[in-house]
Amino acid sequence: MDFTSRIFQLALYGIVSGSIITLGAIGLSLTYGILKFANFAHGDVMATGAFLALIFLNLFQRLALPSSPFHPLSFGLPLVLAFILCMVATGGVAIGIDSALYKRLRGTRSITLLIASVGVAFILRNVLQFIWGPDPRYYIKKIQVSVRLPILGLRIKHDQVFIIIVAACLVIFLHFFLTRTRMGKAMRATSDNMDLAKVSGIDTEKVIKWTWVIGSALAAAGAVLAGIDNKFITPSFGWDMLLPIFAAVILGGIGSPYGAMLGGMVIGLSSEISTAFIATSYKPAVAFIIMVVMLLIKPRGLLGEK
Amino acid sequence: MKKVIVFILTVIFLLSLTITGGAQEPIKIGALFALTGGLAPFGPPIVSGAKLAVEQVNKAGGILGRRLELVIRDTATAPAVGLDAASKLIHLDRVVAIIGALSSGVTFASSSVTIPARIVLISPASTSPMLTDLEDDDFVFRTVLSDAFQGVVQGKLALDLGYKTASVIYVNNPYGKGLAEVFKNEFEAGGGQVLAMVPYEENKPSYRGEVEKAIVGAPAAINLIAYPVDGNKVLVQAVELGYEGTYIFSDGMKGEDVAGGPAADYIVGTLGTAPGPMEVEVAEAFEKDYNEAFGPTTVPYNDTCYDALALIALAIKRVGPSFLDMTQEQQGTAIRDNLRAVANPPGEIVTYNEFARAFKLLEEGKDINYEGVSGPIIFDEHGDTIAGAIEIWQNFEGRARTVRIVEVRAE
Repeated sequence: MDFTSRIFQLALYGIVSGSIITLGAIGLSLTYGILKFANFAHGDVMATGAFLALIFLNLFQRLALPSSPFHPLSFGLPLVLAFILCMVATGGVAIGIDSALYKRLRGTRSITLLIASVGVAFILRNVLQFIWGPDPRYYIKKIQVSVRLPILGLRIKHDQVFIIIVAACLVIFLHFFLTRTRMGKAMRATSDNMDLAKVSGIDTEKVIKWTWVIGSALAAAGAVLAGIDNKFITPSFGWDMLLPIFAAVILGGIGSPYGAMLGGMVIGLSSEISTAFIATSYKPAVAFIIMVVMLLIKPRGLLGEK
Repeated sequence: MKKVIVFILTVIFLLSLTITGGAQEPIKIGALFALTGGLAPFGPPIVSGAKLAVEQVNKAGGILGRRLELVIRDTATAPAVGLDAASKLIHLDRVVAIIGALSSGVTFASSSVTIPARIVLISPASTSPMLTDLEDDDFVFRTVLSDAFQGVVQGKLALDLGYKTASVIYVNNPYGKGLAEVFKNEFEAGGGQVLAMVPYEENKPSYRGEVEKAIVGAPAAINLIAYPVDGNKVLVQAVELGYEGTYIFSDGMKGEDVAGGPAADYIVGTLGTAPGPMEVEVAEAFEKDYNEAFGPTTVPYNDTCYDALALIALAIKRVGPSFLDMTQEQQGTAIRDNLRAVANPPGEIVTYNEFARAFKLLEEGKDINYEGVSGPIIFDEHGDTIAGAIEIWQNFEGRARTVRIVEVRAE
């Protein structure tokens, strides 16, 4: 494989991991925009979603649903259903955490909320580890061999095409939700100025609930897609995802969902492409360096407004 | 009222003194094993080997009138955690010797507390050639062969199978690096060509980059020197990336976790190497007793682990009753000074589950020579065992089965 096609190959992987980072970053950015705090538990909410999907998957496999894989994908109906249900369930978990914890801390300084979220992160991760143990769990044990595309000899798995398409659909869906629906507009208004939104009659508590649901559902979607790509999930997976996600949010502009999409793609692409030049073990460092540089030269991020 | 409470507390205190004084404190031996982390599938079956030895020693009446007790602590397959666990075994649990750890990197780290504390550390599984030259004041031993032997057998195996080219993907720690280098030397000395030496870091979500580097030039085989958890990820990605060559595996990849793992269909018939077991008569009896107590396993090193514990028990017995009055440091030193006497010739040969006879011989002041279930166990001046065997195993029907045993002995 020559150098050009190698770069294009890595860019292809970058789009796949960028899609996953994007889905995680949107949720983090939304909660920051509305609740004004950096939610360190977001990565572990992702992991929780991934394991909820595992529960549903095992359940459906036992229910004797038609489980033959959707050709040419490596999985079938049970995983698709588990994927949808885990988004709903993770949204529920997020609301539960909010009413049990964050709601009581509403109006306190953002550093208090941040520390509380670190606590939530630890609790979630350790509960997952307690139940499932630290070793990888597999959604599907069947390995999918990647296919060669006619251009440049690039390789891609059918599952990866699925990941890109699903992520794109979710992002488009979110765009219409934010711009066309009443709740979406209310969310943007609350994000701009919560007090002003309150006096103009927006039920901000309801907006906060919706923010948690959407952010966490997208995070869960990202986690399951990552699980489909990697073939396995671990309890610590969410924590490992947190750095690239934060980098994406900061790069795109904190609080801006569109910035998160852009940031996610840039981080995904640059991390993967970097491996053509530096040792693969340094891949996570790339996201970190981009984050630091961005904070130094343009702390508001690419699309940050405030 | 206050006086009454003070009185009662005093009585309880005195009672507790007499109780601990009356009951015989067991002699504690530490076990430093990976119960979580990359080697988690290996830890429990291996430590069961030591449990079996402890049980048999106690059945033979214990040592010096005391029961033997095994204190197990988890290393999480991480050097820092292992070091901390070793320190706790010595200072909190007050053990007189430690068996472990599994990974050479963890053994290295742990030795940095066991050596200054004058506590013997016997590893049943750390195979890195780099352990041989450790500055250890003679406190670090192992009952497993150094990878200097395994790497040579791997290299010869690759040549015998007619491979002209190979790449190595190895875990970036003393075990992986040591084995990879010996393999490379042997394979290239025999005319083979190593296309790439690719180290990998543990616990990464993806090893695509590493696999891509290793499959450049389509090597006939990839020598995968890894632990099961990450090794499975590497295998999955190699298949996904369309690698069509075969594999050679190290001892870390032996077992159901890999043979029956996610890449099971793609590695049927592939070969690997692992230290031991030698063709030892007592191995059968050991396997039978082990299976009865803990169920069958194909994980290696439960036999070397048994032998490590047996040797410590015999060494303590050889020190004699004065052992009980020593400080922890003196006990450690005494065990060190008696290990070779019970392990090496000359002396009357004692073997598996012969503790009662061995203890009696020692009481009579006779020399003994323990020949274990994993081999004769002869410690050289580095604390390495010099005689043993390398087995060649094959993945078959979701399990690893032994194909051939190659006996080796250092000069």
